[in-house]
Amino acid sequence: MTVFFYLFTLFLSLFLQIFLRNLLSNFAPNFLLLLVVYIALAQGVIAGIFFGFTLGLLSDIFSLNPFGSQAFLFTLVGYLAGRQNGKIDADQPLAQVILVFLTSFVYLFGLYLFTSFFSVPEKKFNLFPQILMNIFFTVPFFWFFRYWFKLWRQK
Amino acid sequence: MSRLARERFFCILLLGISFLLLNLSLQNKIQGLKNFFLYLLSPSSSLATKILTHSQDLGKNLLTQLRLNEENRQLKQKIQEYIHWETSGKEILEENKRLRQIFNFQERINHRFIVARVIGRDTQSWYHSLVIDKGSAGGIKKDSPVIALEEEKEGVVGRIIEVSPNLSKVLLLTDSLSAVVGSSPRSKADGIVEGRDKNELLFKYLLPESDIQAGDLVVTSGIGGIFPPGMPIGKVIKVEEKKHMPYKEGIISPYLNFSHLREVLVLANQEK
Repeated sequence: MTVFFYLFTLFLSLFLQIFLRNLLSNFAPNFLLLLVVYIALAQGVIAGIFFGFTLGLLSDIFSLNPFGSQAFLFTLVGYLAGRQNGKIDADQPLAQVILVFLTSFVYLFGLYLFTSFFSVPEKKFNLFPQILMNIFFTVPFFWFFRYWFKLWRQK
Repeated sequence: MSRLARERFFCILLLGISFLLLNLSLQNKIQGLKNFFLYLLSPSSSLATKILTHSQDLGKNLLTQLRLNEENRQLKQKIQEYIHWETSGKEILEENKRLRQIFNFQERINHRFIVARVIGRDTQSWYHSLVIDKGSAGGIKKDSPVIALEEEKEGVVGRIIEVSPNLSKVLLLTDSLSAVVGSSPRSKADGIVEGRDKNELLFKYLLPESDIQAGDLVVTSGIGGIFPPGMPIGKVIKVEEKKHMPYKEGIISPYLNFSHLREVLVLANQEK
């Protein structure tokens, strides 16, 4: 059942990401990255990297970026966030924001490098607007994720 | 294997697989899979597009609605103005018609008269009295006869009973206190026309041998000195012969409609 729940969460998050991207265009937060960070922070490195890898692969299918880049970066994000499991207070908004800031930076910078090496490099790479949007949505999304996973555990 | 080592192992494994995928350039080979997942998740895109379109339309619709409301308000205001002008125009036309009648009447009467507007009525009954906007300052005198025009024909209204500098009160023919000597030009019968506090008059003291009939016109006889002779009062609608009474009585329908009076003519005593 846990597998089904995670698969369901996976597809739902993809659904939401596409929805938000279409709705808010460049101002959409990276819902998938926030989810990977939350799971890794709450459940540790193993959960973080596997969830990050799977979500990254699925995301690669829809992305125009080089295939494998999202899987690589989400795995890395899962690992980095998972390393903080038990070290920082996951319920503390400031800790959440700092972690999202750092992982967003790693993710976006990594994406820039992959695009430059394996695809046509983007002429204009807007790093900070995306990071700002991620930070802005961190607290409400983490609140939502906490209740979402709590809902599952109660059942 | 320790926990840390296991974590590192899996991390390097997954990163390695990802890197391998990157180098294999699978973008073109997974197009079928991509299409399949896009098909599964397409409702999300269309839903977002719908919401986006709807929210854009909402702004436009709101503006249109506001513009329409303002336009509607202005049109309603214009309609009210037109209704007002139409009503005023009709009133002016009616007044013009009445004044023209008065002007024509001036040509054929040999009495001087003062035109006055009706500005008030008896609050108890419209058949008692009315107030006009001319008084002693305008040359009105007590007991002066008051007539009005309807369809270019004059009819008796009553007489002045009270005069103040700028207003006068007219006792109507229909008031029960009013009495005028009337005459039927066809039958030559004379009698007293009295008011009955309603829209009809009583023609009293007619001789039994007089040939008065329904439909006969009744005019002022000139006896009494207040009303000039020949002013129409009304038409006989019924004649009653009273048993044990030495005279006949007739019911007269007044020539004028007293409830529609707007302007009246107060006759001066002297001739032109």
